[in-house]
Amino acid sequence: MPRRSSLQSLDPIRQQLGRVRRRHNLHETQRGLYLVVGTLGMASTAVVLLALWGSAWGFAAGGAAAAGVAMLSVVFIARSVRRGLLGAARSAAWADRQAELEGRLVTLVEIGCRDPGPQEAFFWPLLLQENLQRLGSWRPERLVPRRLPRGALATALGAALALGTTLGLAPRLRPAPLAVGYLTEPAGRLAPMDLTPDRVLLAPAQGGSPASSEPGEASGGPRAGGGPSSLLARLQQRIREQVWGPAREPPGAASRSVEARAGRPARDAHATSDADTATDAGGERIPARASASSELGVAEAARAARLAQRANREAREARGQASLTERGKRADGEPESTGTDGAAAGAGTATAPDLFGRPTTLRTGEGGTFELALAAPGSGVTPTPAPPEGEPPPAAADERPTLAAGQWSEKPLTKMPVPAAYEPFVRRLFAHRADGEPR
Amino acid sequence: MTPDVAVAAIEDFRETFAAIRRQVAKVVIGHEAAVETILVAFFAGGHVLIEGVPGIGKTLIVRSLAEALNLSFNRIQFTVDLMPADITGTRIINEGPDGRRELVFVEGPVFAHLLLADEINRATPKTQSALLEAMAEQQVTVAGTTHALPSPFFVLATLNPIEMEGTYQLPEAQLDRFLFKVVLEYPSRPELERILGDTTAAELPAVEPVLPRDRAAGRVEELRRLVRRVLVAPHVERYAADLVRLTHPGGDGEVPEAVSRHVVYGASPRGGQALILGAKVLALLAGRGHVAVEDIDRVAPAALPHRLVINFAAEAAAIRPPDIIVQVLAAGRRRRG
Repeated sequence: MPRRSSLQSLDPIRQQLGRVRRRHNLHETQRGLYLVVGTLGMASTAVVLLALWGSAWGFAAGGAAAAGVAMLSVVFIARSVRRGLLGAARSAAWADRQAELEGRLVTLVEIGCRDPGPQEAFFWPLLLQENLQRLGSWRPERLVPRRLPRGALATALGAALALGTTLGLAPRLRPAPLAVGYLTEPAGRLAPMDLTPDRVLLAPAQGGSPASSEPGEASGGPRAGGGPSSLLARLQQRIREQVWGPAREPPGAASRSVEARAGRPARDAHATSDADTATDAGGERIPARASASSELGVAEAARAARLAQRANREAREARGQASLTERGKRADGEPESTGTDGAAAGAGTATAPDLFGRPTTLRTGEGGTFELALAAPGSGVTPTPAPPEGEPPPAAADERPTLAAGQWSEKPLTKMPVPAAYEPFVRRLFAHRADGEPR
Repeated sequence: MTPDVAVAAIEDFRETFAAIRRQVAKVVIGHEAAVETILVAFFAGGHVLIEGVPGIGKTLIVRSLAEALNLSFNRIQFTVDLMPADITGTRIINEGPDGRRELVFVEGPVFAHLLLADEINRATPKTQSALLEAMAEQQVTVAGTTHALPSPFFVLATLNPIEMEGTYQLPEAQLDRFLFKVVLEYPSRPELERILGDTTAAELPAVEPVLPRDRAAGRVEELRRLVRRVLVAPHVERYAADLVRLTHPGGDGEVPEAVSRHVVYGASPRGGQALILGAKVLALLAGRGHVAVEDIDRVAPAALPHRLVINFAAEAAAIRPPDIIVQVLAAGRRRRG
């Protein structure tokens, strides 16, 4: 009977212990959940930022790093929460430590579960009484004062706010477009002043090398065979489309659609393009502008250029043939040459399909390569200087003629004795002659 | 049993302990921690090994303790020619009134409540071993007859760390029988000034007995029984066992690097018993009827170091067992969480 009453007196302690355990575990679970939300939110924000303003490599590396850090953090948080959760056995020790009960509670609970019962122990009644007196010192509200883990909740809210702000402001913070200029000459023959850092200049390939659409060829671009995986590239493109608007046309689609609408053969269209750019080479050199991100790859710049060119072409068609004729004149009034610099004015209105190489069948993110003539932002190849013409300048006077006196005489050294009778023959044999002259 | 009785018993223990400390402190200046450790071992029922240079009060502590407890006290100065019979006693031929002669056992100096074995490392191992049975079993056997020693029986052995020539290192088995090992350090300057003033004055301070002579042994036994009744929770026992296991180089778990590199043999189960018993006394002194893990931590520096056998590398690197025990305690706290 005394043992039963002794163990019954443990009931309020055990009940309070259960409440403490539930409250603490709920708090810990919330903390873990909020921290996971915060971690994932921050990682998502980083991924979106990298997708919008990062290069393909930057997105691949940064996104992988963000995903890795987030994954590790989630694992760490899960382990931390798992360690923090209290089981029935640990709850007494935890409450004891938190309330600084000097082992009273944990000793009571552990010894109370022993068999035989503790009623024979000399100090058991004292221990029980001390614990009952100290019930108030470890109430659930005292050990776990807040239901919500404020720090973790603030982290989660902050991360969600950051992600929302990023997604909300991203369309407005779209990068300023780069001017795209179209040239008819290979860039190697342009003067340095033609390559300025605020625009992208596009020109045909030097040496007339055909554009390649074979996948796997080295190009060094972000979608080259050695670049990030197509999955990441597609993900980046998809994020950009979701945030910045619908997807751009795939490479080659713009020119194909132009040809289809113009109803003209490709050669005709090529001549039109030459005419346009010939005018530009003598004048402003920037006939068409298209918006393109400074961070976009060469292929994207080319696509953007085609879109812009199509817009320009429509504008030119609206202005009519008079405008084309007027643009065919040079500033000095001379008619424009129809040599290699460009085609005749009005030769065509469609974009040359081979302007940037042969159209490819690749789609964004497929990882193939294609060869583009040139798309260089800002800096380019210095043109090769022309060979000198005319008479060479006279030699400069000797600044220190006195040194000539001490110079060794330039006497021919006899290498081998030659009989005097042979001298005419030898002299004739080694005399200097022009090429092709008989000896 | 009511809580009030337990509280009264705890208070009685604490008052007796404090009174003894006060009396010892009259003549022993400084060494408060050492005196407390010796008293803890005394009430826990163990024996103490004191290490210190000559002249710093080892014998004075033991003598004043015996006077305060009002218990019988003997001192044995261990020398190289000391024989076991000089400790345990021997049989002599005694002629009775009727003229018959018979062998009579004459008790040696070991038959006392408090025994001071001074400079125990100067005796031969054979003589040192004579104390083994007395310390462990609280009895001696002479000529096939077992003689019980008085209770309480408390051995205080001293070691002189200098003048090592002609000494015999205590065997590990005997070291393990000491509950605690206490190292006495030199007194501080203020303590030394007080020692000089008090010990050269006209009247020397005297220790007054705390316990009545006729009831002293009974009271001490009663207090020792009270110590044994202190509650120890399973988690405290686990912690003590963990600490003992952590002193073993091949032990499980995260054995500290110092142990795995420098310890040849770790503490025995007697080390665990010393932890628990000492912690029980400390719990009573703290006014508790149960042991907390902090009590174990406080006892460990006195209970464990002398049980470790370190290798030559440790000695060459000047790593002492107390340093290793510090790491063992840290590892134990990490495991405890």
